[in-house]
Formats: sequence, C-alpha cells, structure tokens
Amino acid sequence: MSTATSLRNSFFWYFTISSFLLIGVIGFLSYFNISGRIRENVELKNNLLAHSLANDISSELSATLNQLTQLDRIIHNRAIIGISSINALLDTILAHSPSYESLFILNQSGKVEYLSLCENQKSKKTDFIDFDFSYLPVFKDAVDKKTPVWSDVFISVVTGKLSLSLALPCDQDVILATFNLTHIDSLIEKIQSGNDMVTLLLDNNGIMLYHPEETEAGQKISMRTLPPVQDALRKNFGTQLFAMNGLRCVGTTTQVPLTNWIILLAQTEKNAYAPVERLKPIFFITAGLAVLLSLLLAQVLSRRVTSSLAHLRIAASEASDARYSVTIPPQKYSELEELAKGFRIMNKAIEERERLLRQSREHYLTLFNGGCDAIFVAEINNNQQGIFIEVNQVACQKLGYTADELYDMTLTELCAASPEEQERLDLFHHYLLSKGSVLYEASIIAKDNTLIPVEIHSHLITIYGNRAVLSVARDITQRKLAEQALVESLSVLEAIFNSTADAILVLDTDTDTIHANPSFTAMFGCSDLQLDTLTHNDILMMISSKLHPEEPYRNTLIQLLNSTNECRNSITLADGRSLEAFSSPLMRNTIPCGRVWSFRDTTERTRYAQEREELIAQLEQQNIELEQFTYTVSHDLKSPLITIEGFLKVIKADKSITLPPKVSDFIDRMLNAAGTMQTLLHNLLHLAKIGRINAKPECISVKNILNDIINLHEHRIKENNISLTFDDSFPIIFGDKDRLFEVFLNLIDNAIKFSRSMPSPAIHIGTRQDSGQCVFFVRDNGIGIDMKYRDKVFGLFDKLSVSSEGTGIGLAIVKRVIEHHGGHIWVESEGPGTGCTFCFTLSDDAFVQNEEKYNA
Amino acid sequence: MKAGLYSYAVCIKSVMRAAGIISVVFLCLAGSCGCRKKDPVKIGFVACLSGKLTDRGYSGRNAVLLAVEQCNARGGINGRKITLLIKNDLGDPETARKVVLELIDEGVTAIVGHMTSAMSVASLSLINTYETVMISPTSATNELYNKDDYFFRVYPDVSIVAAALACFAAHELHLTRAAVIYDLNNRAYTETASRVFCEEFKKQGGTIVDTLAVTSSPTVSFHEIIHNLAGKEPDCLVAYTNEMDTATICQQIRKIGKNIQVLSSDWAASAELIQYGGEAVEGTVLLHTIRNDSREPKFVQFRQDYFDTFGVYPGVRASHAYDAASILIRALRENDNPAELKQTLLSIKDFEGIQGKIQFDEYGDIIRTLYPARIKNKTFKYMDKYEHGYQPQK
Repeated sequence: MSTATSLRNSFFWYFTISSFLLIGVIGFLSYFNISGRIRENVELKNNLLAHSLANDISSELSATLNQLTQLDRIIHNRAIIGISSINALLDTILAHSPSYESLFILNQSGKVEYLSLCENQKSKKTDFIDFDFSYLPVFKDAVDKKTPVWSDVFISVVTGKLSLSLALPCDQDVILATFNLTHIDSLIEKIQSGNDMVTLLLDNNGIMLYHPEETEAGQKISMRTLPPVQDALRKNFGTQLFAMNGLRCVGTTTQVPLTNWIILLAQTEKNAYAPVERLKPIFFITAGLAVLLSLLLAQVLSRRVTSSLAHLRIAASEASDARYSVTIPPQKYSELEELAKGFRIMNKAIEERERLLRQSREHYLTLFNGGCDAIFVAEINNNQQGIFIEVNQVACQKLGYTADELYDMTLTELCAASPEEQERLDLFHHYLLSKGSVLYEASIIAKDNTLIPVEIHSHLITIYGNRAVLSVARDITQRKLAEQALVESLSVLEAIFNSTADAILVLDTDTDTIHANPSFTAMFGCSDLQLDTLTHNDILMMISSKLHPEEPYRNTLIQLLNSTNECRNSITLADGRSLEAFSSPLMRNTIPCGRVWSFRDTTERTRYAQEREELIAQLEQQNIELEQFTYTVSHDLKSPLITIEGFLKVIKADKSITLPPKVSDFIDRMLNAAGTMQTLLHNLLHLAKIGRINAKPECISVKNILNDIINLHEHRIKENNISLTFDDSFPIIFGDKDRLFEVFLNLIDNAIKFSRSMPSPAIHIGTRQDSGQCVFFVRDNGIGIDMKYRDKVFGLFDKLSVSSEGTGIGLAIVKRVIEHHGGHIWVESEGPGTGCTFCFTLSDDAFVQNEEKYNA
Repeated sequence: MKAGLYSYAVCIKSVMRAAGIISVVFLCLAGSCGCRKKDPVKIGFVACLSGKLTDRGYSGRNAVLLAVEQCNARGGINGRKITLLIKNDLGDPETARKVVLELIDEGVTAIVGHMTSAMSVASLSLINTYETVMISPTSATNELYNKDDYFFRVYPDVSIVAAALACFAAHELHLTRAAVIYDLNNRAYTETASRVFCEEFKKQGGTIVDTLAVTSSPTVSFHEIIHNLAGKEPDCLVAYTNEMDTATICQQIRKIGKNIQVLSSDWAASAELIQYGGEAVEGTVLLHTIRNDSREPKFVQFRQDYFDTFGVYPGVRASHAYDAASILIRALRENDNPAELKQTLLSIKDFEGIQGKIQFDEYGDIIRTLYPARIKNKTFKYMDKYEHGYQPQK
C-alpha cells in the first residue's frame, strides 16, 4: 500500500502553502510597514506634544524671567524712582500676576530691601525687611553664577501649592521671586485635553510635579523607577515602550529647557497604537479572503492540471506492471506533452533496459550457477565471517542443502570439523582480511555428512557498502584422486626407476636437478654423494670419461643435452662392456627442459645374438642339405620303383603265363604298394620342390580356382550328396597359381573326405576380416577334431586316423605353400563331431592392391 | 469627597481611568503586584497630603511606601503581599476621621499615621471602637500618652521631649529666662510642649518670662512679637513652631540685635529652617529624635534607599514613618491575625529601628534617645558631649 500523497493533493497544498506564504509575507510586510509608519507617527506626535509642552512651560517661565529682567531695568535707577515707587511697582506686578507668592529685591548680602507679598502671607510684610535669604541655595547660586537660577520645586507653606523660586542677579541686587505653578498646570491640561494620555511633569529628580487629576499640588510621587524617567534622568529623551505590572505602555520624555524638568507623556500601548489595532481586523479579513480565494483557485487549478495527468498516470501504472505498450495521447499542455514524450521514450528505454537486465541477470545466473564451482557470499560481522547471503545452485547441489538452509550457515560451520581445522580456517580468514584474497584447501561437510575436498578461493568484496566475502569452492575430489594415483604411479615409477637393470640418468635443466637410479651409479661407478655435487656438464663429462677412447658417442654426449631429437646408440665402455644408449629430450609443455638417458648393458645379449646367428646359419645349411637329400632320395627311388611296377604289370599282362591265383593276388598287392609308394614319392618330391622351385607370381581369381576344383570333384560331391558353397566374391590374390590351387584342392578334398559320412554334409568356402586381415576359410560340418591336435594335423605323415585316406602329406604341403606366401594357417573346431574350419591368411603382398598391379 | 481624591486608592482609580499608567507605578511601589494566590495584607497610611503641611505627609508616605516595597520584594508577610491604601486627611480632623473610617471599611489590618498629633487625637476613638491598630510616626501629643488603646507611636511623647528640652536648657545651656512661643495651628502638640517645658524649666530653677501662642496670618507681625518678648529680657526663646515660623522668629531676633538663644523642637528641624533662617538661625539648639549623621548601618542603608527612590535624603518624619511601618510589618510577620496585632506589637521587645531599639511600653508609647544639635555653618551639629544621646528623665 503506497503511502505517497496524491499529486493533486500535493499540488493543491503546494499552491495553497505558496499562496499562504505569499499572502502572509506580503500581508505581514505591508502590515508591519504600515503599523511601523503608524507607530512612527504616534511617536512623532507624542514627541511634538511633549516638546510643545516643554516649550510652552519654558515660554511661561521665560515670561516670568523677562518680566523680572524688565523690573531689574526699572529699579536700576532706584535713586530716581524712589523706594516707595519700587515697592509700588512690586505690588503692581504681584497684583497682576496671581501666580506670584512673593517678590523680593535682595542686596548682595541676601538681605531683603524691597518686597511684595501675596495676600495670604503668614506674617506682616514689614517682618521681611532685612530678612536674611543668604542661606537660600537659589540666592547663593545666582550670586555665584551671575545667571538666573531656578530653585527646586517645593510646596509653599503659604499657599500649599507647588512653587518655584527664581533668583535673578542684577548689578546691585538679586531679585527673588516665588510663584506657584498653577499657570503651568493649565498648559498641561490644555495638552492633556483631547488626548487619551497622561501628561506628567517631573522635576529634575524625577518627582512628580503635575498630575492630571491633582490640580492643586500633585502627589510629589517619585517616578524615578519608571524606565523612561530613568533614561530621562540620564538625559536620554525620546519614546520608548515599557512594561509595568504586565501593562505595556508607551512613554515619551523631553526636557523643559530652563528648569531641566522632565515631561512624560504616557499612554498604554493599546491606546497609543490603536490605529494599528484597527488595522489588524482589516488585514486579517483581507488576508482571510485572499486565502479563501487561493484555496478555491488551488482546487480548480489542481483539478485541471491533474486531469491532464490521468493518461500519464495510467501509462505509469501500466508501466509499473511491465506493460510498456500503452499509448499516451498528445497532451494539451506543452510541458505535459514533453513529459508524455519523455514517458514514451522512457517506456521504450525501460523496456529495452529490462530486456538487457533480464539478459544480464540470466547471464549472471548462468555464470553464477552454471559452473562447476560452488559460490558463497558471506557477510562480515565484527571481522568474522557471518552467515551466507548468497549461494549458487552448484553449492546447493554439491552440498545437498537448500539455499534457505545455507543462508543460516557460515563457511566455518560447513568446513570446520575439528578445533585444529577451525584454527586453520581462522588463520585463512585473517589472511583474507589483511590481503584481500586467499586460496586454500578445505573439506566441506555435505548434508549427508560426506566430506568434499574443495579448493576455496576467497576474495573480499563490497556489497551495498558492506564488506563481504566471496568464496568460490571447487570440488577437487578428482584432482585428489589423480594426485593419489599420481603418488602411487610415482611410487611405482620410483620403484621401477630404482629397481630396473638399466641405468637411467635424468638431467632437468629447469630445476637444475640430476636424477640417477642405483643402476646408473653401479654402471658408472659413482656415488649418490658425487651426483649431488656435480653439475650437468660434470656428470656428462664423467660419463664420457668412462667411454672407450675412440667411441664417437662421447663427442655428441654434451651436444645431446640441448637437442630435441631422440637418439639411440650402441656404445662401448673403456672396460669393454657394450651398452645400448637411448636418450630423449625431457619435455615440459612441449618445451625441452633437459634430457633422459638410459643405458642398457648389452654385453651378454650381444654375445647370445652372435651365438644364435651362428646356430641359424648351421641349421639353414643342414636344411638345404636335407632337402637335397630328400629330393635326391625321392628322385632316385622313383626309377627302381617304376621298373618294379613295369615288370609286375608285364607279368600280369602276359597271358602266356598262368599264374596261380595266389601269385596273381600277390602281384596285385605289389602293384598297389608300388602305386602307393609312387604317390608317396611324388608328393615328397613335390613337397621338396616347394620353396625351391618357385613359379612366377600371377593374379589369381579364387573363384575360378574353386570352380575348377568343383568341376574336378563333381562326381564325388554328387555321390556324397555334399552341399558345397562359396562366397559370391573373393579378393584377387597374387601368387603362385598352381600352389594356391593345390592349397584349395587339398583343403576341399580334406573337407569332402571327413564330412561325407555326415547326414547332410556341407562345405562352405569364403573370406572374413579378422584383425584387419583377410582370412580365407574352408568350413565343413564333418567329424571335427579335438583341438589338442590342432598342430599335429599339419605335420608330415601325421594322420589323426590311420584308417583315413591319403598319405598324410597334403596338409603339410598346404602349410608349406601358405608360409611360402607369407601367410599363416590354423584349424578351428569346437570338438569332434562339430565340424571344423581351416583358415589361412596371406601376406599383404599376396593381395592385389590396385588395378595397376592386377593389370600388370 | 475632595479628600478621597487624595487617597491612594482613589488615586489609582483616577489614574486607571485616565490612562492606566500611573497605577503601574503605584502598584509597583505599593508592592501589590504579583500576589495572586493569597489575599494581600491591607495596610492603611493616612497623613496630610495637600496644603501647607504636605511635605511632612509626603515624607511619611514615601518612607512607608519604601518599607512596604522592600517587604514585598522579600516575599511579603508570610507569602502575602502588602497593599498600601493611602488616604489624605487634609490636616482636617473631620476628614481624618472620615478617611480612617474608610480605611477600616476597606479592611485594613492596621494604619500607619497620622503625621500630626491633632489628626491622631481625632481618629483615636475610631480606631479604639474598631480595634484597629494605628501606629503614628510623629504624633507626640500628650493626649495620647499612657493610654491603653490601639494607638501606638514611634515618637516620644511631647511631655518627655519638652521636659528634656527644659532640663537641657537649664542644665546644659545654663539658661534661666525663657520665653515660649507656640503655634496654635498644631495645638495638640504645641500646647502640651510649651506647658511641660515651662513647668519643667521652672522646676529646674528657670524663669518663664512669657508664653505666647501665635497663629500665622498676614496680620501677625513676628517682628512685633519678638520685639515685645525681647523687652522681657529672656536669655532664651523656645519656639514650638514649624520650620518657616521658627526661621522667621530667628530672623526677627537677629534684626532687633538681641542675643537670645533660640531653642526649638523636631518639628522645625529641617533644611528649610536653615535656608530661610539664614545666619539668624546659627546657634539655634534643637533636640533631635533622629541623628542625621548617624553611621548605624540600618540608617545608612535606609537613607541610601530613600535617596535612590525619591531623589532626596529622608528627614526626621520619613525616618520615623519607616520605623513605624517596619515594626508593624515585623509584628504582622510574627502574627498576621489583626485581632492579636496589638498584643503582638506590645510583645516585641527586640525590634531594631533604624537608630536603636524600639520597644513599646504597655500603652504603646516609647522612649527615644534625644540628640541635642546646634545649627552651625548651615548644618545641624550634634554636640559631641551627647554623642550617645541625651536621655531625659521621664
């Protein structure tokens, strides 16, 4: 639920507040300006009144002073006008000036020379002649200063009124006049009338001389504590506000020039500034009306403006629901149109950015979750790794926890199984805090309590201004297993290295190390200690020193160190031992970084090889001789046998001779034996010829051969009801045609011979591919053979059954022909009664590889 | 009605009506401001505040105002502020009775006043009837002496002072022939004073050459009076007159060239006596009830406070009025029950006035130390011999 204020309300209130502020500021400025002016006018008026009164009083007193000055001039020539005239003059003055109480003319000693008294004096006028006024301060001051001096105001014991004395020093005399202030009272009353203020006349001590209600003598109240009076006593005159007992008053003070009296015009602030007060309701009513108007205006304006924003609001609402296709119609106001335009652009931009953001997020998630590494992000609290705040799917899958379960865990909880492990992890964490990243191996405990060895790469990162740890944990189970296997392999290799009879030397130029197995040290007669101290060149020099002086290998030994070629040599040591040296470059990332030598002591083997060669040569010689013997015997035996057979046939054919039946039987038997022997000799001779007499090789069609053989044995096949089949196609072979014909003939004959006794004899001839070789086979379902006799069947004169037909030379001839063609022959059978298959191969040369050869 | 206008309360009303400003001053001075929670203690002040005797009334009023203001500034009486109601008796007995009755009607706890004996005598029956304590600063008349009533005073009875003056004239000044002039306008004081003086002076072996009562008027010639008295060869003239008349008498004595020692009372003891007496008052002897040159701290403080407030130094009347108000405030602090005020006042035995202890006797009278002073070089010079006062015999 949004707590935001509506724009309309805000606009309304902003407008209202602005109006209020504007009205308030203008209103109050006007109000304060006008009220300030009114106040200034009031103060000015009071000042004028006070000064006017002060001037009036001063004028009044001056009039008295002027009158006495005139008197002084008149009496200056008292000798002329006479004493009585002076007294009369004084009486006249008093008679016409009711405020006078007394008028004395004193001599320089202060003694009364002339006087006039008002009517209600306390004693006779004559009492005052020669009266001593020399102690009167006003007299003394006038004489001393030679200027008119006004006394303090006092209450006359004669009239009971506030009175004042004036001493006017003249040439010879001092005129001392005492008069009351009733005439001044009238001045004040005149000012007072029509004004709602109090006019106070104070003496120069701040004592009240006149009070509007006290026309007789005032109260002689001290006004010294009143703030404006205090200021006036300090000669600070003017208008000021002062508060007494919570009542705020305005007081204006001024000074009467002649007497330094103080005039205080005072009135309550309320009365003084009544015009300001009258201004207030006008101001407030006007301000109120303005405010009401502004409220109304604000309402109307806010409605008008916000109604135009409706489309924008809808569009914004749609946009907030990720629907950016809303059309915003053209706006009435240019600003809103600009806003709408901006909104449209913004919608597109947001749409595009959202798409990019989604892509980016998918990309990020793919990266974050797609690898094979578990990624954890943990917060840091008080420099300790806190709980995870982010984990990837790999982490969940590997560990078997859900993400929510992991969010309550720490890396330490996942890893630490023992206090030592905990301590180790703490060390890594401190290293991480100081260096910014750390790489270490640990074991993580999965939810099913299996331990997963991992390599953890932790980095310090900052997320939202807070430090965090990004840890990437890689499952290194396979690596660990590989390491284990490697270790095991290394141990095997090391065992081989150490136990092999061959001497092995490894010179690693990268690590500048020498590895030599015990056989090497034994072969070259050096110790392990020596090897530790030798350089690569030293050890090669040591090896060359052990070689036969004329051995060419010693010159290339050092050159080989940096060669990339393999090298195999037979070398001879100075002590006569024969060695087979094999060296190959030590490669690291296809870059040679040293060389490996292996030396095999071939002294014995060389000797045995020589002996074998000699033996073979002897055997070959013996074979040749034997073959010649066989041929010779066969050939030489053949002639007498033909002779025997011929004579026997002559005897039998000779009709002239009647032979007893028994003799005749003997002659038949002798003829059979001679024929058998002749066949036997023929075959032996034939066998002897194989390998000795070779026909020119030619291309042979196996199919033609087979057809010829079938034609040859057609009678036998039919007679025995044998099913003879062969493959549709055979490879063209290249060899001795007659011999190979002999091979197929013998094998088929053999098959017919041993299968014709079967109920449904069947023979099939074909080829098959076996280990990349073309294998010819002749298969029958005949009597089969026990496989323990599989070699014997190919022996000379070896017959498995004595009752079987043949001389026992046929398969020997076949074997000899096949081997003569570089091939190999064998028999396959699953046992007696299961038939057997004779298979043979030929050398690669026996097959026609291409048309050219065939054509050739 | 006119008299009412002079009263303080009416004054406040009138000023309020006029502009509401002067009341501020009065209220402040009267200390009636700021007390809202508790009812104020109303105290009345009555004196002549207009006419020829105005000055003494003003002096008394100012001093009482000062005492009340100081009391209120210190928290008032047990938290209650004092409201001072001021009335003008116009120096007229009828008016005096009227305004005293007004004060009683307005519920005052006590009244300070009057400043003249005649007015005090006029109000006596009223205050006794309404059992309202009145303490007078300067009423000295013997008519109020030794009476068990509600009248108290901090000024010694005139008979005592007059007797003391007679003794002092006879024994200290060695005068033997005395002429006495007294003012009939203040008869309650002057008649007793002149009578007692004469009796005592005679008792002390002196001779009264003449006793003359005077009333100031344009037809009265002090010159003639003095001239006549001088003819009777007095060696001293005792004047129970005000300061102006005393000054005139001295001037007349000087004019006729007689060497007559003038003796006078506290009544005339003011600056005006010297100012208007001129050289003629030099040598005049007076018995003061207050020493203006006293160095007592309370007096010095009072004198300074008074000057700061009113711009002039206090005279004898102001000093006595201050004492009267102060002892009344002290009594009210001890017990603010008006019905028991008289007993409370009588029970106070240790009140230190501005010049020494003030202790009422059972009749509300006191005995004060008197300080003989002689006018010399325009000032009152207190005689060294009586530095600690001249104690007259009762």
